[in-house]
Amino acid sequence: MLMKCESCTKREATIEFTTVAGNEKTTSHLCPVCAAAFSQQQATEAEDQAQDKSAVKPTSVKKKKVNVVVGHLSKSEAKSTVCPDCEMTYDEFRKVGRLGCPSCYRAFAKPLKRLLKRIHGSDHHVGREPGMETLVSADPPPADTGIDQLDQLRTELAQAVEDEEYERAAQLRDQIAQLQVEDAPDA
Amino acid sequence: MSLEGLITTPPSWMSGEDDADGIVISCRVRLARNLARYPFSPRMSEDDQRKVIDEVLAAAKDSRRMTTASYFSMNALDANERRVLVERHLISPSLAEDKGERGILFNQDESLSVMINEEDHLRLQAIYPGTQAQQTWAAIAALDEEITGAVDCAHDKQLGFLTACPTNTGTGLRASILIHLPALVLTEDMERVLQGLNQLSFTVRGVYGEGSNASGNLFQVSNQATLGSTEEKIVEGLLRITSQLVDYEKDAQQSLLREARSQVEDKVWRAYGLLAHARVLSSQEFMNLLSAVRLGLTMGMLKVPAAFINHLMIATQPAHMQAEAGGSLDPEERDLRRAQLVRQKLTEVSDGQ
Repeated sequence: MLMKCESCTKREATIEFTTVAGNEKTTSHLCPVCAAAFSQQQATEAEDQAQDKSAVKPTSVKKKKVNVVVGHLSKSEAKSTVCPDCEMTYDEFRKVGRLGCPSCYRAFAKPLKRLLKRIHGSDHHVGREPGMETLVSADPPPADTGIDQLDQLRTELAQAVEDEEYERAAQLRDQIAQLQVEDAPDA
Repeated sequence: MSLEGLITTPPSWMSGEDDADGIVISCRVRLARNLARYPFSPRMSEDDQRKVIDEVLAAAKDSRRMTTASYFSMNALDANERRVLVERHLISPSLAEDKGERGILFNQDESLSVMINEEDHLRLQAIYPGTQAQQTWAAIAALDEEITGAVDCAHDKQLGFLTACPTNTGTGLRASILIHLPALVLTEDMERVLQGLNQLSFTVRGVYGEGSNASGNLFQVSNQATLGSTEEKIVEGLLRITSQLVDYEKDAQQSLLREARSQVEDKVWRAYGLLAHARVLSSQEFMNLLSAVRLGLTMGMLKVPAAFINHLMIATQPAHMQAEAGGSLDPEERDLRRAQLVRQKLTEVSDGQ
């Protein structure tokens, strides 16, 4: 529960990441950032195998270049994706796990959006904005918002299926099943 | 306000109010914010760092919530003073140990604070006793309104507040509770509870945040996702989980009482006896004994006030003891002093009853 991520060794490992190759099952403990990157990498590799071709064309002319995948960008793409304001490359971001400046969000929009979806299950903010007036009621929240939560999970599940994020979809399916059991009378 | 005055007074969040019979010690909400025109902290020059501090302090000066607040620059404090602030949950270990211009602004009762130039330019924090998550949220939202309304904040229509680490993007909100779950640990149900929490997207840590160990059966439970839900929903989710955890813990306590009442009573009273009479107490042993005493309080066996237990927990931390002693203490000296302090405080509290 309190171990460090085996990949970046910096952030806390909160995710148990299991990979299956043939009959071999390997479990590693990762932080959300590295886990998200790894599952993107796996998805890309699986695609590569299925189509029997490299998913990303190496932009470099070097022969026999090993195609390391960073996020869902190739190593060379990750190196050439640069933030115009702070000059951080996407490759550098993947190494340090921290963005360089607010503009990085625009410069790395595509791979970041996928990364955010993996981490949070969403890439859309629905909360406060700067300087927003506070409308907090002093009353406690309604006791049972289970139905609410179910609705939200179902929407997320539909979205996950649409995005072909099956790992996430399976998680959501389990959560929904669990909530339904809890909500059932006589459970 | 001086730091010397700080060590003798417990922070307001340790008062033991609304703490579900000693189970929920405190609850905290923090918001990560950045200024739009500067690089994020890891890539900032010292000049930028100074400018950010000036801008934030200027914004905070007009805040109605921070009228009693004082600012401390990390570079103006020695290592032990910085540790005192960590032990009081006012700053993170990394703010204490990092280099560069950085600091902490906090109000007199320590319920509201702003770390400047940590991983994000701003980390606003509200911390309240017990299960007062709604009050905590109300306080931090009001401070957020004042501060982000006065500075140029890094924000995006679709992604919300932009933070250095993508795990904080969106609301930038981390809500957590500090909860004592000794019966769930004793009945070996904690592993199952941890798995369940993880599945519901909650993270569990030790008392001093990332990378710290759970000692004394104290756990910090917080939300994982910061993007895609409103702040209110995240806080409500934490409250819901909290009341579930309290129910589980109370059930586990009841089954302990049914199956092994005398052993549990013996454990509680032995712990009390050791705390009242021991001459040497390591930090680990102390936390375990204090956990048993807190369990005694929750089960109604002991009449020790929760605020007293909470305060002991902070007063016996290394930097607090060193500050009181006025110099550094090696581990053996600390264990002697800890035992002495606990004996003295326990005598005071039992005389007062």
